Amino acid sequence: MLQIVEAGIFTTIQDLGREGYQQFGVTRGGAMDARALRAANALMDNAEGDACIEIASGGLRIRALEKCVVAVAGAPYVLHVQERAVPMNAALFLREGDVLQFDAPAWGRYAYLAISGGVDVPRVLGSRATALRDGFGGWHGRALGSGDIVRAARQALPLERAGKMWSEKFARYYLDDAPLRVLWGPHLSFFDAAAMELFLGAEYHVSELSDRMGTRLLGMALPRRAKELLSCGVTRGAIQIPPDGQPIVLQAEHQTTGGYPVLATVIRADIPRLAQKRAGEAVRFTVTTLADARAAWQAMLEF
Amino acid sequence: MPAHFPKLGAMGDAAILVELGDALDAALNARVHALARRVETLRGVTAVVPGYATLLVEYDPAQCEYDALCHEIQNALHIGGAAAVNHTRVIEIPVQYGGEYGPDLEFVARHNGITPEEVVNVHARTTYQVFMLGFAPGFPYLGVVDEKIAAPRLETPRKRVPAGSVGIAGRQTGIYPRESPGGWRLIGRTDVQLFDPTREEPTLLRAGDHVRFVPI
Repeated sequence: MLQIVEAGIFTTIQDLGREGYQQFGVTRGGAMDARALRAANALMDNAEGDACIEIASGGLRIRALEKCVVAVAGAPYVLHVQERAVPMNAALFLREGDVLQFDAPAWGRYAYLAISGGVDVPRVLGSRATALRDGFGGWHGRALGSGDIVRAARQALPLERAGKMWSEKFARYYLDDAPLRVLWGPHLSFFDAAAMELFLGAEYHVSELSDRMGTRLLGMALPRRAKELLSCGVTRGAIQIPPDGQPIVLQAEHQTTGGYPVLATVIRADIPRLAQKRAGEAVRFTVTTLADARAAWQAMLEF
Repeated sequence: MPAHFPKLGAMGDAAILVELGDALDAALNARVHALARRVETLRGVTAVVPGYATLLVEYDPAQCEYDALCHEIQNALHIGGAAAVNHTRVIEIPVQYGGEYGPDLEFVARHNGITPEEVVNVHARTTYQVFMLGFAPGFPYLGVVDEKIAAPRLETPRKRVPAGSVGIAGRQTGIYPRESPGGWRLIGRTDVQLFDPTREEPTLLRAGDHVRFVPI
């Protein structure tokens, strides 16, 4: 059992999201960095989709109300239990009364605290993820606040089942400078060859206005046909081009449908890398193939 | 340049967009929903998201391949052709029009050179089709609104539209299930609950349903 002492900003319960309800306007939601969530769960020998606490900023402090085992994976938050520095990416044995403190990471934005057995809140529409905009799921549909007590499904993990992970190897994926890989379309009729070339040649920067719904990019305005697009279903990673030509890459809590044409879509394997980029960081794109995307997904899951 | 429909294209490595056309048309939209029912049970499909004239098919690449799934979708398109959706339901939505519940009713009337009463009559006498759900859980995009009461969106969206507000945007009408920002012209409000996440079928309205508004 963990009690929030100080919540930080946008500390929420997340899992891999809700699947199958998009046709009702229900966003898939879930972790911004599904790779790190899976890694945190693997360290606790949890199911990959067990719920974790998503940490989006420094300042979080959590007190263990009884002894428990946790692990934190993702952006390298600086962790202390009282004054003692403790590592990311490893099982942490907390005694009753221990306070785990998170201070801002050197890079990235999101980390995941996994507890043995997964965070125990009711499933809503098949998932424990918090639909913040819609006010349901996770912790009563809202971000965690001080005083909240988060329970786990199990209380202790035998030491021999705790996973291990090499921090440098795990981090390499995020620190990779290579362009984000995309597949073209499906709304290529809105763009000419010059626009497509511009897109591949441009360096964009992550806007401060980015949030859980989308990563907004600033840079070369991409020209597009002015015609209207009837709203259609959209998926995470889709790169929408609104009238101002500044790309928006859809993220975890994106609306299920949209009226802006989609020029290209970031492959699943590169979405966690993008999600961890901070405002001001540079982003470039390159085109890949379906086969390479499949291989990249497998590679992304090796940590 | 003539477009050739149906078109199938990848939206990333785990979704396919099926485009059946590009018009706001009830019969075309009915084909979208018929396709959705056939495709959602295919192996590897994790979600279907109907649009006005399109169907997004999300799938798990570990369970099926892009080419094979496209093939299955093409097959599904050829079965039944223009078959109508079975068991079309007609749902009645009671609405209080105008006054504090419909701050844009006067605008819609003026914009079209008719009285607010006529706007209400025209709005309520049409049976609308739920073209799709989107924007928020349970938000229905309803059409097709009679030209006589069509109205453009607000230039600047309201920061807060009350839950249950009934609005018009172009030839579409819709209902805001919860308080949210919004740019549609508000003509009335309903008490009806459009979304309940505790239910397995969480929305009152499904794409393909028919809706009538009843002035109260």
